[in-house]
Amino acid sequence: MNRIYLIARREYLSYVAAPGFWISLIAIPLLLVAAVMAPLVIGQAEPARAVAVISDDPALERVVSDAIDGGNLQAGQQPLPGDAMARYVVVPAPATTAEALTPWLVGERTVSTPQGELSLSAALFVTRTPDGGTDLQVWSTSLADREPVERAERALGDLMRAEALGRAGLSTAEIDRVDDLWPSVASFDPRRTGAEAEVQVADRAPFFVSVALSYLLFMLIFSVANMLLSSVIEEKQARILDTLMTSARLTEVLAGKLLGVAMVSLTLLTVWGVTAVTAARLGAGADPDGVVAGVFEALSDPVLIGMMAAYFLVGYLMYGAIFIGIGALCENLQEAQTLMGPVIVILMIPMLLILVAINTPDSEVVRTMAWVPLFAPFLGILRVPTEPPLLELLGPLVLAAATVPLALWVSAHLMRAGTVDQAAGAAMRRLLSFGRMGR
Amino acid sequence: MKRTGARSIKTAPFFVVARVEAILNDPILVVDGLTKRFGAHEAVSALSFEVPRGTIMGFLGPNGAGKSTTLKSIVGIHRPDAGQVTLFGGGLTRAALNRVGYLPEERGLYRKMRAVPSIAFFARLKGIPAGEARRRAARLLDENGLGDWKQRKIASLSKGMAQKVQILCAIAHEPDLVILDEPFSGLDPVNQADLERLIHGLVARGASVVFSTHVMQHAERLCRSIVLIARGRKVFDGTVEAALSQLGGEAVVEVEPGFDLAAALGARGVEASVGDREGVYRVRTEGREGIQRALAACVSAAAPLIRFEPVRPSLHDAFVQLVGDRATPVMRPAEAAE
Repeated sequence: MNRIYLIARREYLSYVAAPGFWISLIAIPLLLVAAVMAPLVIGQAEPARAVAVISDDPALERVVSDAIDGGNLQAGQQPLPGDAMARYVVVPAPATTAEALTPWLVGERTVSTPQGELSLSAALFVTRTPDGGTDLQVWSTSLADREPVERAERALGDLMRAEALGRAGLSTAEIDRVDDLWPSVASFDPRRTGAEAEVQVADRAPFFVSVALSYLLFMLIFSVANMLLSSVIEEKQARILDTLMTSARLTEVLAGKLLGVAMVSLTLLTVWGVTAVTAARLGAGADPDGVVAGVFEALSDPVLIGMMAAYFLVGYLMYGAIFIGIGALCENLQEAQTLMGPVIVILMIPMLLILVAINTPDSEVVRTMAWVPLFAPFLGILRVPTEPPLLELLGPLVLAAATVPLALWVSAHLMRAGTVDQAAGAAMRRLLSFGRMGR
Repeated sequence: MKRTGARSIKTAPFFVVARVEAILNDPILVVDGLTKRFGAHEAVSALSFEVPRGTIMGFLGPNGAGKSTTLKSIVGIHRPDAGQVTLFGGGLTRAALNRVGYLPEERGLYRKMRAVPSIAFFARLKGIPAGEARRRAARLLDENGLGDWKQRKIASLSKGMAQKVQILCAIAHEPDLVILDEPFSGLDPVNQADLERLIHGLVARGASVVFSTHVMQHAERLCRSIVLIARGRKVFDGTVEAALSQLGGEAVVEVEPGFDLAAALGARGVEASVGDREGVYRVRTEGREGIQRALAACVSAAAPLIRFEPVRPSLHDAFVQLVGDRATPVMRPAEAAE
């Protein structure tokens, strides 16, 4: 065990010492922060835009102006971060025709706004039609900037509906009440009783966690595949194996490699996880009954999270052992990539099954396929929240767990045949002979 | 009554002394009938030899003879198809292998690791505690002229330096048996001399050393005994002196120009051939003791001697004579690497 630890430790430190590890470590949190901050930064960086609303009908002008001038910015005020509408400021029209407004619209002249001198971003002409409807004409050189137009459109639509309902005899209060009509939906779990029976958003959180974990496992397997293949092939190319084998069994060497890479992944996941959890906790504080709070509740269930973690770990180690076996068969990365093709095809199967299992985790197909060790980790994670029978919960896990030492044994066998005995081409023959186990 | 910490061997019971002596006299390594095949090719055939405690043994043979295969089988990398290896009187257990240091022919270290951690890593795998392993690594590097390179990455070392570091990796756990496969290849003459000193130091500490080499001078200088194999079979096992004695005698004899030494010695049953200039002959006898008879024959023939110089036999000559035409076996590509 000590030798496995030492080999794993060396493997871990060699990855941690590489710049790529640190780039990966900080890249995800940075991307997370960037994803949150980018709209705010972009919003703040964008200049305020002046919009003029021109109408013969003061009521129409007020409705459209109020819809656009969301910020009501005063002199010297900056728009609030992320508030797109705060970027727009409605100004009195310097002229009343499109032709007369052209110098302001093309930037030749400016208007005074609380944010300083600005050219007109858009001029909105709103008129009543003979049938009592409204007409909106937009003059602007900012062809892609549709936000004020859409706001005005919605506001005019609401106004037209309210006027129509008013003509039909409904009061303003009744119109507001009609607008608020919405069905009340409640879900119940027949396995529970009383107030507990009603399904809350938080009750669905374990399913969200399981789907997220299943996809995370899928992505992690792809990311470690390259690390493990490179590690094994480097060992073979650097001719270190002979020296190592006088100090440790081949299975210990391979197990050490697998655990070393697993520790690297664990470090990355821990840092990323802590970052995500810290961000999510802030979200949970703002919405105590929401999905994020439910996720934390799900994570606090030791049985649920323990089983998911077990499936996750077994899946990681099993596929890792398979990649080590592929590395053992190959002399270089090109060869390894060729052999990876069939493995990727196999990995596509659970990917498709995940899609089925998300909606119907108890379907016959999912329940049957969950017993196949290669698919068990993905499907097992998804089935844990459905609380399947104990045999269906633990059986596939035990089978998949037993596959890990078997895969390592086969990998050691291949490595001994292909590298140590230098019997290239005889590796598969020797594997199929199922001779004595690799020391 | 004064208490003593340990009883002197002189005062120990007879059976204890006898047992200690037996252990000390037991060979540290016994290879018995070792056979290793790669497919249809038999790389090593029924090879047997022993390595006495505290000695240096040279393991010699031409390319593809099966030297590396034998050494790998001794340290458990290869599993023999027949025969067995006995280390320290027992089997190839983990405990026994932890007392062995091995330098493979195909060198390799983790290129991104620094020298001290590299040596300490392999020592720790052999059971040395972390702190002690690091101390030993630093000390060994200092003692072997690599003190300034302790914290350098292996990738930045020259080939010779990296090879020295790998040798130190093999001995940092202070093994009782050190097996070095072609340790001198790739080293310059200065480093070769350093390595010879290192090997002598190991033996002085009480370890036994087995090394393979193509360079007979090293074996001649370092070894008391040698095992010579060709095509996987043992062709000689004994002391260097015994190997040299397999050779016939040879001497360079110079006489006054005009004297026909070949005819004079031929009449007395001694073979002499004309050398590279007038008056110089090469005299060859079947055994090394025959040189004395050749000298007596010269005197008997009243040869006008200027010089009678016995040629010191070399292990190289013995190697060539013992291996003979077995030096060019049909090799599989895998064994060609040897």
